[in-house]
Amino acid sequence: MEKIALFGATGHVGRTLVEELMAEGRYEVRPIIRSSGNAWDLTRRGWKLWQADIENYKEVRAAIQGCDYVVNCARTMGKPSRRCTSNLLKAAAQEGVARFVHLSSIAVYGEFPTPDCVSEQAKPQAIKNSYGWEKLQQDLLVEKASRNGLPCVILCPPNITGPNSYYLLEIISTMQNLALALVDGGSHICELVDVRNLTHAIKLSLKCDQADGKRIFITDDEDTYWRDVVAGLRQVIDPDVAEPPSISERDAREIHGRDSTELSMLSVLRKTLVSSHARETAQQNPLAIQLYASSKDLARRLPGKWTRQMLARMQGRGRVAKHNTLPKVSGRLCAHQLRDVRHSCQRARDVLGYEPPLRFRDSIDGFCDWYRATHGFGSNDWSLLRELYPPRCVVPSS
Amino acid sequence: MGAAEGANQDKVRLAIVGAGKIAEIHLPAALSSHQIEVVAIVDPALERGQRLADDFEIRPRIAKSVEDVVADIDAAVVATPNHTHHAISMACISAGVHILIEKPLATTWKDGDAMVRAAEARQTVAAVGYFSRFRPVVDQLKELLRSEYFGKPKRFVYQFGARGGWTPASNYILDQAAVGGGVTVVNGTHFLDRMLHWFGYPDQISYRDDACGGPEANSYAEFTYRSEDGEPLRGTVRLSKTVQLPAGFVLETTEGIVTLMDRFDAQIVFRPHRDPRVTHLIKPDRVVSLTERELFRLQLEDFAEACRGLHPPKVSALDGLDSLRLLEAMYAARTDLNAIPDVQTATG
Repeated sequence: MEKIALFGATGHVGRTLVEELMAEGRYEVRPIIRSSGNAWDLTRRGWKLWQADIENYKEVRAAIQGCDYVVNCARTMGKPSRRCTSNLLKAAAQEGVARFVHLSSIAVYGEFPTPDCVSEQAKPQAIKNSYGWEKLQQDLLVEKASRNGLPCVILCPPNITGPNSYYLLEIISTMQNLALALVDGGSHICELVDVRNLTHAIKLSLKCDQADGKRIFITDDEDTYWRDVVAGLRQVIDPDVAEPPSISERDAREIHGRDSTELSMLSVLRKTLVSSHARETAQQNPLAIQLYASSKDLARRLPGKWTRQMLARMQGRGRVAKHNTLPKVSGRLCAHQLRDVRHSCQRARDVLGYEPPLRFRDSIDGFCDWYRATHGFGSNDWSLLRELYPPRCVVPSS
Repeated sequence: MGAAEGANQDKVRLAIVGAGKIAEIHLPAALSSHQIEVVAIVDPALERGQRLADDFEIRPRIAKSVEDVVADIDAAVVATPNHTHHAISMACISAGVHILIEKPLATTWKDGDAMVRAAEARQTVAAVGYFSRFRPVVDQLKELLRSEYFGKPKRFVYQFGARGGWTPASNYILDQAAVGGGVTVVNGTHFLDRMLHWFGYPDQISYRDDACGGPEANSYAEFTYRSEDGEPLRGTVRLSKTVQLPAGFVLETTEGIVTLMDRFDAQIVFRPHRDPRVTHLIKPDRVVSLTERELFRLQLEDFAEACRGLHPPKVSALDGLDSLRLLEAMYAARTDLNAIPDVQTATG
């Protein structure tokens, strides 16, 4: 029986793929994990697991030994991610595997992909050091390995849904916290792929004729809008929770910009060093009081308008901003709604023969069934369990 | 100098047995205490013990086995994989060394009972590491329930869910025999201990989990407490190692709904039926800054005071034995969580 070395076996995609392959019995599966802490869903079945640190080439080589295929579902970030991918590719090439399947992400095309990103051939635009940029660097390594003779397939999914979907759980949590707004009433595209559609594509990739190391979009291949997603998830949201408000595209961009600005180092410094909280905290420490008084004295002695402004800011005065009328909603999910590009699955159809087995309606209903079973939503317990969730749960101030 | 002679010394000479993840919490808690002197770290992997000592800039004796140090210590924290608790504890008890055993007490009630009897016979302190009992709200709630401040309890739910998380250094959680179970043992026993503390031992138990050849990742238990003068108290406990769930306890009484989240700083919240718009926050008896390390310190201080003969430990091995009895009863009543087709029925 052919063997598959599956890295990232404890993640959402990896775990689902392991379960499917084990049930199908067509391949011998080697689930490779980094840490036992996340392996519960696999260990409960008594399956043999392999432990390997993919930053360690020797461990990777040992894990791949004797395998015919390598599937990389591991999520790695930062500089180590490139080393990890290199280790996997090098070991796969040395082992002479028949196929290396790598999971990329539409994030390589940037936070706001241009309309030509309908096709994989569009130029990736991910900002340096972002998640999309890291995935792009990994893709480049895979493409290079493919040019050097290793048969590779890169699958490029959007946000992943289905049971245990982190993304849908994030949306639910944001709705419960009254922090979701629908841009233009939810009329923007929400591009998704059910995890089982993605695992179907992975299995097709093992045997497809063309393994040229180029990206292939894998989505649900449907016109799904944000209002459809919210309506579908409403099944598992308390009626107490208000409907998300509708905001304009302009407001969504401003909210996203506001959230991004708040993350910048300078704004963080400005807020923390000159904030009223910082001043109050400083007043409790004799040394800090002394330093504060000295800096005020120094500022007074310096000439110039900017020093006067700095002094005014230190004394709690300064420019007063207009009251922010924008709702306090998730800038991240506003940004996702502004993407509004539907990536084409034509190449997936041509190269893999891909047709998504699951439609969005079945996918969202399946997720909601899973949510009810695991969270007790709608059960007799729920009338009490709901007290633990926002907006009912109370977080007292200390 | 053995434990008997050392019992009334100013500081309790303590060994940390097991230099894994949980020792990284016990050790600084012990170091911060004025009652304790850490004199030894024991681990079969000497380099792990030495690394732990180096990380905290101390120079205790580093030993491979507890037998090497029992003559020179008064007490030990047993922070090793569950299946080793019995052997290590018995070695300590035989030498007259007081023990604080990480939960669960042992992997079987039989082993736990042997440990309790041995400790009683040898007159050594045996405590169990259910550190959540040291949150002041736990005893506060017990007292409020006893006085029926919230009326009569009718039903409760508890849930805990974390996607993975705890990764012991030895990876022994992958081995069901070594752990004695899955999520129910690893995480659930903290609440089960509190439940026993608040309500006593249940009269009826049903239990389901998703173990399929390995340790369970999800479980669901139902408990019934008979009442002499009315409806029984029913409760459910939902545990998961694959799904993130806000952890906490909710109790419905005749007067309203009581909530206690699992956060260290959580206060008891009461929402009366007569006006659900009103939320009462029950202030703790004393204001304490609670972190995990602080709770572990309180646990160790309590243990040290027990070692010095000042009072019995707050959470004794007998409490641990009750928890083991409950765990064994739950696993004995086990049915498959996945086998039940109607999810509504499965979750009550």
